[in-house]
This record gives sequence, C-alpha cells and structure tokens, in this order.
Amino acid sequence: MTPQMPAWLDPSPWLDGRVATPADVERALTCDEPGPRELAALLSPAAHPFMEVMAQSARALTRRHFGRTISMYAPLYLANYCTNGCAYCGFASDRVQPRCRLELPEVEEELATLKEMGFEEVLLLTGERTSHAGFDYLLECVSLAAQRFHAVGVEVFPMTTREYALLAEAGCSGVTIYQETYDPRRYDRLHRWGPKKDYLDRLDAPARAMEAGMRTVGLGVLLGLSDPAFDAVCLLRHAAHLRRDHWKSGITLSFPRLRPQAGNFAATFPVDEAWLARLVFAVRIVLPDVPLLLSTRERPEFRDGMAGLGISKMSAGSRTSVGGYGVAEPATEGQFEVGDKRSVPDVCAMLRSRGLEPVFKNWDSVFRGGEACGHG
Amino acid sequence: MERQGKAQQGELRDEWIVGGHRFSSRLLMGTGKFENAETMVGAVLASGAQIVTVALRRIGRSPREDDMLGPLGELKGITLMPNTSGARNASEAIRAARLGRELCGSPFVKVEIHPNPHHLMPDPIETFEAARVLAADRFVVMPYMPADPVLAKRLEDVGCASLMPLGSAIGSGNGLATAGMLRLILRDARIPVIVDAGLRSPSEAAAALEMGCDAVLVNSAVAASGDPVAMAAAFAQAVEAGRNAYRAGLMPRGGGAAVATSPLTSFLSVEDS
Amino acid sequence: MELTVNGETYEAKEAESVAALLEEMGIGGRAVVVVLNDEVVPASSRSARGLREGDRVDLFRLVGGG
Repeated sequence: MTPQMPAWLDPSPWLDGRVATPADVERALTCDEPGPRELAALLSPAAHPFMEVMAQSARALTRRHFGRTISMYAPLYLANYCTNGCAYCGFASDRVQPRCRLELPEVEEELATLKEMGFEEVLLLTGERTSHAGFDYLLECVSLAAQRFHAVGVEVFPMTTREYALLAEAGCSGVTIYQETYDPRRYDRLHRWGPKKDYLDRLDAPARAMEAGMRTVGLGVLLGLSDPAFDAVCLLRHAAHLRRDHWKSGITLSFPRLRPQAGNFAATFPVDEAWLARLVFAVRIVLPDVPLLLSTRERPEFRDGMAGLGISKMSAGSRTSVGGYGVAEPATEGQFEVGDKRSVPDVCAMLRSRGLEPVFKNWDSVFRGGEACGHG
Repeated sequence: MERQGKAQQGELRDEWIVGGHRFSSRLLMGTGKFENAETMVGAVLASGAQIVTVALRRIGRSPREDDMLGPLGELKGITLMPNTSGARNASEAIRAARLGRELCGSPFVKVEIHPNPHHLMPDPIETFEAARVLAADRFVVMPYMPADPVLAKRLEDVGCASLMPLGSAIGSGNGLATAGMLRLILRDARIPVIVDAGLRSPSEAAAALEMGCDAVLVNSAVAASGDPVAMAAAFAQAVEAGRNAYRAGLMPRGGGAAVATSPLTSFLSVEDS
Repeated sequence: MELTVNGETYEAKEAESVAALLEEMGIGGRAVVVVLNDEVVPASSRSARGLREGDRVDLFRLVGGG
C-alpha cells in the first residue's frame, strides 16, 4: 500500500492548479519571507528569464550569511553491503559486484589519509544495516573518526532515537539522510525491497536524529527520480517543519543529481545543469541561512561556477568506493561516478582564484559533550 | 512564507486558535488608561476585540470606587484575560495569575513581568519561569516578552499558548522597531504571535499583520488618542486590512530585475540546457 | 476583632466569617477575590470560613489594564 503523505509535508497547495506568471517570480524575488509559494514560482517555467537575477540574489545572500568562504568535507565509504533494492543505486543488493567493509585498522588508515589531505570534517557512509556493517560497527567507526576529526557525520541507515543518541555520545555531530523522493508512489516503486521501502520511517529519521541531539541534519532528494519541483517544495516544507520542532539543531541541504552508475538506471525526470543551478539559486533565496552542499558528482566547471552562488559547502578529492583513499586499487565500484576528479589542492586553488576561502574547520570538537544538546 | 500558504488554501473562515479557543478578531484590547468606563467600553465595542486584558488590584478603602469593568462583564463574546502587571518576579506573577483565574473564571493569562518601573521592559528570565509553572498548571499562557527568537522557542517549549513580543518599548509608540526579530520569531513559531506594545498608529498594526503576525494588542494607542472610540474602530479596520493584504500577497518591491554586465551563469551553457 | 485588611488595620464590628466581612465593608455584591493569610478563599466557602484575631485579608478586584 502506498503510504500517505503527512499534511505538514504535502506540497499540493502550492503546486496545484495555478501556473506561475513573471509577476509571481518578481514577487518571489523581493518577498520579505519567501516560502513554498515563492519556491514554486522560482522553479516554474516563468522563472527561466530570471536566471541571472536569481544567481545574483543567491550570491548576495550566500555572501551575507557565509562570507567569502566554502566549508570543505570528505566522504568515507565504510561498506557497500546492502539489502535494499533501490532501483537507482550502485550498491543495490541485486547489483553483482564485490561486497566488503573496511576493518577498523583500514578505517584508521583511510582516516589518516583524509587527515593528511587536510580534512577536519568527514562523512561516513554505508548501505543498509546488515550483519556485516550494522550499528555496533558504525559506532566503532564513529569513535575512531571522532578521535581525529572535529566534525563527524554519518550517511547510513535510519536508526532509533536511542541509537542516534549513542552515536552523538560517541562524537557524531551530523546525520545525513535523504528521502530520495518525497512522492510516495514514486518512492514505493523505486525502492523495490528492503527496509528502505518504509517511506514514513525514513521520513521521520531526521526528527529522531535531532531529538537525540545531533547538531546538524542533512536533507536532500536524488534529482531525477520524480518531478523536481514537487520534491523541492517538499524538501523546503520538511526543513521548515524540522526547524519549528527542533530549533536547537541545524539543517543542511544537498543536491545530488542522478548520474550514470552500475545498473544503468535512467532518470525518469532528468535534471539538466541549468535546472540544477536554478534549484540551488531558488533554495538559497528561500533559505538564506542554510548551508547548501555540492558533491563531486558534478563536473569541475559546474562546481567552480556554483561555489558561492548558493553553494556554501563542498567535498573535494572524493572517492565513492570502499577503501578508495588507500594506495591499493579499491576492490569495489563506486556508489556513483565522480564528476570532479581534481585533487584537494586543485579545488582549493580554484576557490581562492574566485575570491573564496576554503574552510576545513569551523567548529572545535573540544566543545563536544559539554552540555546535552537534546531538548528539555 | 509557510504560514501564509495555509491562509491561502481557501479557508472560508479566517480564524485563529489560541489555547484551543477560536477567535475571528485579530485585535486584542487593553482596558487601562481610559478616562472613564463608558469610553473604555465604547472603545472595546468599536474594536470588535474578543480578547480583552484586565489587571488585578487590591480594593481601596474608599467606600465607593468606580467599577470600571462592571459593564464589560455584560458584553457577550468577550474573553477576559487578566494580566500580571505589578508583578516584579515569577512568584508574584504566578500568584497574580491564580487570583486572576479565580476572579475571571478564565484560564487566559497575560504574563507580564517588568521589574523596572521606568521603561517597563519584560524580564525574560522571570517571564520564562512564570510561564513554565503556569502552563503546567493548565493556564492559557500568553507571555509579554522581548522580541527574542530564542526566548520565543523556549517559551513555546514550556507550553505557552501564544507569544506576545513587543513591537517597541511599551508606551513608546515607536511602532515595529523589532521587525527583523519578529520575522525570525514568525518563521519558526508553532503558536500564534501577537505584537504587544509599542504601536501608535493603525498603519503599524496593519504592517504587523502584513508581516504575518496573527494578531496585535493595543491599549495606549487607543486610550491616549484624541477620540478613543473612533481610534479603536480605526485599529479594527487596519488589522483587517493588514490581514487581508497578507493573505493576498504583496506586490514586488524595487525597480525590476537588474541585469549583470558579466553574467554569473555563463558556465551553464556547456553541458546541456 | 482586629484584622489586617489590604495592609491596613481594620476593626471588624460583628463579622465572624469572610462573607460577613465583605457585607460589613459594603462590597458583598462585587466581584472580588479574597485571600486569607495568603490563601485564596473560593466564593463558595466564604460563609463557612471564619475569621480570627490578627488574620490578614487581601481583597482584589479587576481594574483596567493592558
């Protein structure tokens, strides 16, 4: 049975029936408190001629809230075991490819490599919860990472509030969990089997992470799976909902776009670069103070252009395979194909040439655990 | 903004709910500083207010004190909301609130704690403490507060029914000096936001509603005006206009779209589009 | 019987209950809340509630306020 969309998420009041006009777009651009309606207008065909104005606005807002800086982070794939059947993912359980996990000494090696590359923030990734890479394994990896890194995030499987609290206690400060698509019907079709089929459980996970005291929670949709305007308005509503209920935690948003990978899944709703850029500009305009992330999925020229133009946080030098940073050739295929293969120094040089300072550390782990971050 | 959308979903009755009670009027009236009871009642009637604040005082020894509020009790459809004015800390406010509930039979209380008798700015710490205790005691707690977005969430977390941030210093008539902070409060609030204090003119009340505030509370601006009854009616019209403007959505600001000399988006042309 | 009413000394002539005190003071019909030695006396128990020498009685009413 297709899950019901909760009323607080439903974007239809802003998307149904009314075609946005250029006047709606202009209003959205000058609105004091833009919201779902303004986002819908900025993503409508009527906004196409406003690209340059939106870009200027996005740059001005990004500069005002984040200065001339770009935060840097690196992903670290711990394992690629998975029991889910996500039609679009290179790690899906029906893809024939070697499966492995990093043993703890290997995790230490990879962390040491990332540290040498200059990173202070690391994002740990796995597939679905399995006996090979379950919660206890993750907890150990987080503890290892927290010894070396000032900020440790996880992008893994949904957990219980108690599990999130244990991770936080071990030094995890961020949880990234994408809904992939907010369209319940599309979600049900794309997630063919596995625990991830539970739409509502996944939808609730960010709130549980915040409840447990996580400092930041990353949301996102995988662009290409569903109508991107629908998903974008849902994303905004989800973020606004979380901010109202969990005001002591921060939100970040990412814009992963479906790229070719194992399985040759073709995007049903392909999103081109211009549309992706417009989405970033529009989200920056409606959420001026939220960090917006861009990964190495995108090609260098696009990343260079978007840095500071809405985007305030980037990864660099990323490997999306398990053990990718080690000297040996990784045994597995990547979760997605990396579009920007440049080294960290090259990306930093590019940012500096554009008047942006790469920032590797803007929070010190010495503050961690000083006080419970939960509510109450 | 998010809150706006709800109003635009074609709701027939534009009501707001506080503490489980529904109201259609978005103008709350104070009853202090009027020259006589007749003017005060006339102003309340002209304002269309459904929530009216009152204060609590000890009875004087003079045998025949004017009972200003007697006529109010006979008006239909008005909820009396006792305030805790005169309280200088949380325990005094809690005591005043309990007496007010006893006297009015109303669970509504405007928590108002201002230790400094000159500027009358609310004490955030004592206000928080009083709100916490009273909300747990099943009052409908409406705290008069500094326009502080963090305090707003803290008050919401302890169970307040609404937030009543000040537009500017009480009695100053400086209008919406706190507009930027009010926007932040509105952005994340799950409960109604009522601008209380600082307003002078109906246009400022309209601006508060245009901004997305759920209601405003006025007293001095009416009581100390040239014609309180007429001014109360003017505020009622302004509040309605502001609310309607908010629901309609304002026109764009500024002189149209600027065009860049060196386009920021030229890098997009290469791949697809 | 000597009482302290609203902070001032008050010599009650005959009143032995809260209700009788209000009558004696001429405010029997008015909306007031009675606080006897820091404790609210509900309207329903005013007749039953006796007074003793030295009791502190505070009487509150509603006034205009913002």
